[in-house]
Amino acid sequence: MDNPQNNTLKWRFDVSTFRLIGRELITDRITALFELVKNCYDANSTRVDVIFENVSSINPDSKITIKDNGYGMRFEDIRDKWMVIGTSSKRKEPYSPEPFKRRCVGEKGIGRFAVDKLGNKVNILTKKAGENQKLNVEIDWNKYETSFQQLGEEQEENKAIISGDVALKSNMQESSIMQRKDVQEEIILFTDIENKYQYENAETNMQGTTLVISGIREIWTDKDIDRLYKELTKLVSPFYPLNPPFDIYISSNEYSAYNEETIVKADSIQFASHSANIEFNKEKQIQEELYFDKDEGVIKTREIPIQPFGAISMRLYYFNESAKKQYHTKYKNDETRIDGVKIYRDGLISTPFAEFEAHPDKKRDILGIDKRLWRDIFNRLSTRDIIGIVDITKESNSKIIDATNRQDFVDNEEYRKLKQFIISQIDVFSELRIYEREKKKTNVADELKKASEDVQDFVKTIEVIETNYPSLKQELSPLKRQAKQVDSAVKKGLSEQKKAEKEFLRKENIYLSLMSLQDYAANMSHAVRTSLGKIKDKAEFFKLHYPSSKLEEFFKLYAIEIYEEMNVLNKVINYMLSYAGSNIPFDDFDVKKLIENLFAEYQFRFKNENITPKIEIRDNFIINANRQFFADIFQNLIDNSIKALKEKGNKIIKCSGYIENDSFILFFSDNGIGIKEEDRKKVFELYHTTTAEDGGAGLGLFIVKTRIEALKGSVEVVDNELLPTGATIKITLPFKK
Amino acid sequence: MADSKLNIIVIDDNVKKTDPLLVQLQLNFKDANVILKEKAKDGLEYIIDNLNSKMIVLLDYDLGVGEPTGTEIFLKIREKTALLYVIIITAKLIDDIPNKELVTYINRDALAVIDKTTSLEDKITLVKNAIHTLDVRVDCVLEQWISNHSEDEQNDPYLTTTTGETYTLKDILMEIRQQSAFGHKMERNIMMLAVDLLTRGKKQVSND
Repeated sequence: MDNPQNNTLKWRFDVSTFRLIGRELITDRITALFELVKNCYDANSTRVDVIFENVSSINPDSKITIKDNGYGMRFEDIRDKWMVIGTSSKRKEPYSPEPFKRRCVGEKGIGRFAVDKLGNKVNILTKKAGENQKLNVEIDWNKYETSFQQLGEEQEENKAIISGDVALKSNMQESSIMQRKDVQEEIILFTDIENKYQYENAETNMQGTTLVISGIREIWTDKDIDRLYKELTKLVSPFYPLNPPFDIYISSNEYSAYNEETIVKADSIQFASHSANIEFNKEKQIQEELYFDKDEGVIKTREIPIQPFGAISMRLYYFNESAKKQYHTKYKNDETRIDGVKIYRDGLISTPFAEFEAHPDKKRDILGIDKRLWRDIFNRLSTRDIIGIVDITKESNSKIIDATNRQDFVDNEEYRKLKQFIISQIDVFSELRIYEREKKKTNVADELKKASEDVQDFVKTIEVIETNYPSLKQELSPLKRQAKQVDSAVKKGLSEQKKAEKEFLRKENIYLSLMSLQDYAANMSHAVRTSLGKIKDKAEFFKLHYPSSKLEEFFKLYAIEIYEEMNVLNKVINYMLSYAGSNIPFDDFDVKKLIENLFAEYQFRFKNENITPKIEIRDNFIINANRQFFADIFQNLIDNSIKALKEKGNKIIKCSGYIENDSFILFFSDNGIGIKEEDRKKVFELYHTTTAEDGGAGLGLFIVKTRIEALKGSVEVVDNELLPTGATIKITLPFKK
Repeated sequence: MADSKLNIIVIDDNVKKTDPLLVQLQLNFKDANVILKEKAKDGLEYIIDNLNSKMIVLLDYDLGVGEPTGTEIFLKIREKTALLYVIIITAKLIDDIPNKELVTYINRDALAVIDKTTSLEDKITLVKNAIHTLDVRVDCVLEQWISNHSEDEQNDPYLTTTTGETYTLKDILMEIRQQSAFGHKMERNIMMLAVDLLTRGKKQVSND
């Protein structure tokens, strides 16, 4: 070293690091564009154009241009801010310059990563008002990559790869280039690559920044642009008066919907069946909140003190079933439109942060609205029933702090209170929903009853006329007959309506019963931990002692046991996975048919094993549940019976069932080895098995039990139906709670 | 006479004789009896029958449907003796054990509550610690000493206080175990004597 007294080391990083960071920060291209548009906002633009050119296929002419009329950048801004990774001038200065003083929304300074996500090359054309030249900086990621690849081959030359006439470099970069040859021959540093820039003539009064991105990475279809449009509509609160304005225009030379500049504007919220909003009065320290007036059946507002999280205004739109239907007709079943509650700060979206997610189930539920559903799926509202807009400001809600991951707020007391408050306001609509449902039920029943009475009155009147004017009897009789027919039709309607109501109640019960998923989670984690514990101990034993001739027999035994335990674990996990989808599909099916089909599937196996199957199910029982869950119950029972029948002759598996009172009862029997009296309860326990040698893991009946309990049913071992030995399992599925 | 051999009792319905834990215990503590009881009732019976020996119990928290829980067994053990060490092992998350039961473990002096997935080595370390603590506890040392003497010696008055009360060795042991004021004082005196003997040579136990 030249100066051993004064040695220093510098941080350096290569190109791939840059990209790695970028990929972590920007997860998809819609977010990337969103990010760039937000930067335009921060630059005091009043208009930004997003222009797609030739993006339907990837070719040299594919381009995405983002053009704003903001304050533009100087050479120094680009050198000292835009091209310095991790700085954000906006962080030091949270507001954009006068006269707009906007709250900066692109707080992380990651716009450059966004560019990288979209294309390989960008030209930054930027100009401040009053200057007569614009600056054009070209960053070409291809060159970075090429240099990275060529590195090994060109070491003896080892020149900085400079393209173009003028190199943009800071002092630090210069010195590192000089040092490179001696110190660093194998790594090409991100900071060493140079990007050319030049000045071009421009009109003096023009200002703003234009990013021209080429070398597009992915094609953009009209659907993709639609999604961008939709996301961009969320950027600005539809209610907070944004002054000066921030207008976004999208255009495309390929897609007719965007042939002309299309202004991005949130659709006014239509079709909502109910809506309500709350405001505040800071001088009087008053916050409004919603409550449901049970007597009048309407949502009202009342005044409360301003809450710890600060004053907020909120608009909530609730879509009941028919409103949703209308909405979906208009928006072609685009489910993502009714999308829950968004929080805007100073008119700009804060959360949920714009990250495009096509599948509604995968959207972040930051406010925890959907989490509550499990507790009461019929009455609580989900994010798919409401649109909510909450407006907060940096000034009034200073305790609500943006989280550094930009996808939520910092979890503090105030934010938790805010979430609670928002949810309490949504719950007001739940009360309304319950009220309306009840009212509707009574209405239908009442109307039918009244119709029936009216018809009966009518018949009576005819009879009176008949008595008084016997001569009219012949004329009146068809009328009377018809009226009686109407009467019986109405009565039938009334009973149908009652039946339907009952059916609804039954379905509701079965739905609710599946809410014990948390119990499953607990059960399953217990199962997994037990298995893992066993495996771990045995593996550790190997670790501690292997090799050792003295312990050879244990090694052999444990190797087999570990393998078997892994199989058990596999089964447990498969079982768990069957619950993993948050969207468990339900449908109506006939239990009798399902069992018949299942027995049919086993036909071949039954024949092989010489088993006679018998099904004697008297009543049809339509259940609304997950078909596969239900089939699992019987598959496990059949598998168990087959094992129990292994050593027997004249093998029978029988399933019988009928409806009794409020339950559907099923008996599942075999004439196998049977279950000992003292084991009747134990057989349903996890890992209890008597058939370990046949690959029994003690899971089958546990699955049976948990799945039946999920349906609020019960299962037990009862005295064997088939003699002399055998087992009978009784399953009871209730209709009512 | 009491059996001076250490008994390590594992009460767990989910464990086989060939389980690594049992094998490892036997490997580590060659002189100990490693005993597996799959049924809680059998385990408890064994403990009660062997109250005179040094014992460490590894007790499964969840002993299966229809069986008493680990906590119930633990309390039953404690009704009989405060002397042996109990290590509770659970496949549950510790968070899922009701606080009330955890308080019971602390107040009734369970040595540890550990996760089933704890490594063999850590489990062995715990047992080693338990053995060591057993070896140096005053009442244990005393009990061990008493059990090495004849019935007559055990029942002979050993100590008379200034107020005229006499105590046999067994009485002293009882007082220590019951943690009475006298027991506390005796325990302290024995310790002091031991230190004294170590540093200065023989001295009479003060009995004021």
